[in-house]
Amino acid sequence: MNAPRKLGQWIETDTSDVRATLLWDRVRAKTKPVRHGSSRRWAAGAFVGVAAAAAIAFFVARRTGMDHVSPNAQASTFIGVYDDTGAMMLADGSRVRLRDSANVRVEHVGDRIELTLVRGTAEFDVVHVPGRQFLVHAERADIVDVGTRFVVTREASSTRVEVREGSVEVRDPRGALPTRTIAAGESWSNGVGAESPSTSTMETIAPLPTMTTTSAAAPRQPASPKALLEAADAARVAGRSREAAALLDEVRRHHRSDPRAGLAAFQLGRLRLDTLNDAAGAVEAFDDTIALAPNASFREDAEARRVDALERARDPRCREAKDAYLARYPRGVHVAEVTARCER
Amino acid sequence: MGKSRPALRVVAPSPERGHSSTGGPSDAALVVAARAGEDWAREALCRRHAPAVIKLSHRLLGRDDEADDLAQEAFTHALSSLDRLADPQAFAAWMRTIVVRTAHKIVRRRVLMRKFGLGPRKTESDIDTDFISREAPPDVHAELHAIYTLLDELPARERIALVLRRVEGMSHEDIAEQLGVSLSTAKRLAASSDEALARALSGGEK
Repeated sequence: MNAPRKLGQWIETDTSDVRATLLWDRVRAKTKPVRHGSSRRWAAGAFVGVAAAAAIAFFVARRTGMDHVSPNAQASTFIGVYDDTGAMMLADGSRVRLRDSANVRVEHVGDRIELTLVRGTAEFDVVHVPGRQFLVHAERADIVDVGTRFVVTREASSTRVEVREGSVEVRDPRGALPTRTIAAGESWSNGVGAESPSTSTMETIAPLPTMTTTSAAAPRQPASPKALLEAADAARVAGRSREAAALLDEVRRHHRSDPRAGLAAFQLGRLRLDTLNDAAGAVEAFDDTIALAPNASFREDAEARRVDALERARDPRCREAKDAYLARYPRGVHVAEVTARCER
Repeated sequence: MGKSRPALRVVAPSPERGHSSTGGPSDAALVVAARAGEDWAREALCRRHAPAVIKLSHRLLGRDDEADDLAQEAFTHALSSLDRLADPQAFAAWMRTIVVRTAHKIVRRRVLMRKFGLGPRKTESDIDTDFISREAPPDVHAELHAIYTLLDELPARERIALVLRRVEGMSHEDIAEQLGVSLSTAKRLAASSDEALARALSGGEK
């Protein structure tokens, strides 16, 4: 035979973000972070880790405008990366996307995450964590988030805030302006009077022009399940969680016979539970996942997540769902986490 | 005074060696952090390499619905044994080897079970090659169809060698390395599976 050709390029495999997420969920359930037992090895590992982290932080700060945390802060947060989009993710799942050569300094102080936008534009998609405050410092403005999506642009002497979902509170750290609540679809900016920038401040609150996202004004959606799933993936990684959820809902409601409907329902449940804080909606989506794909490889994951959702929704069916999972999957990958649920 | 917290780690997109054009820290940096017990680094490694691993798993087993189990087993093994990776920057190649060897183990187990009459034996109608792109040239389509129809007939190592050689386009040296066999064994396996494929393509007898 002749020299081999690489025929693999003609094989189509679904490598969607949903699948990768599902894979990671299962791998995480089966593996734990490895901490070295020996103190000497641990010390060496920690040294290498810290050195690497410092090198990365230094490199990144130079290349992308991410600053180190201030040395006196009790810092413990991490900004990770979603490789496919470059969006950075904090340990709690909140995302930060930098634009216009933005420079952001991140600190985690106690129960508060603080970010200082030094320059440029940053888009925040913040996961609501009860008791945790998410604060963005910009030019003469502190923006307090309570679980939403918003964009902050810092210019030479002003700050502009656009709220895409939820609402934020904008405070003037000098107290010259009253605290404002800016709702979804509104923008806020603090211009400066020409005669005396330090004292004369103008404030503007205005409705946003038509959003560039397709969620509000443009209901036109691609028709095929494949296109809908791709659009949902794109919306999700761009931080447009509600739009992603709507697209996934469209797939499972209008394409129920499509083999991907179950996966769409599963991903919808995850989004509702993890990002949209809609536990009851997540239960409904996981129920639908099991109905749509009773024999799918991710059924076990759907059942485990359903237990999680029932617990968060304080639904009395939680215990029953937990027992059903443990009976069905006595050696399942989620046994440990499911066992810990519905104890109250 | 509260307990001191670990230092901030900041990671952002950057085109570095050891990582795709999508940006982010290098594989070496992620491996070092993962070895230190950082869960985010393990996740980043898994998510970054998931598409390649799932694709390879699918191609090795010939079934998309079995690819997830193989990928899961391979990642579980890799992330539990990162200490054995000599060159952290070579994570992708190391991961590929783990996938290949895990696939070999799975196939061998399946063949053994079938010998004892425990596993299902596929019939011609069970073989689904819908995953071959409709845009594939006819000769490519025919070859891939023949490969995936033939797989279940071959011994485990020949089967893996056939996919590595014909589907992945690997050299004998790479096949030897991936399977952990000598070069001469790799050549023998490839020759044997090539012969079987040639027979299948010509519609001939075994």
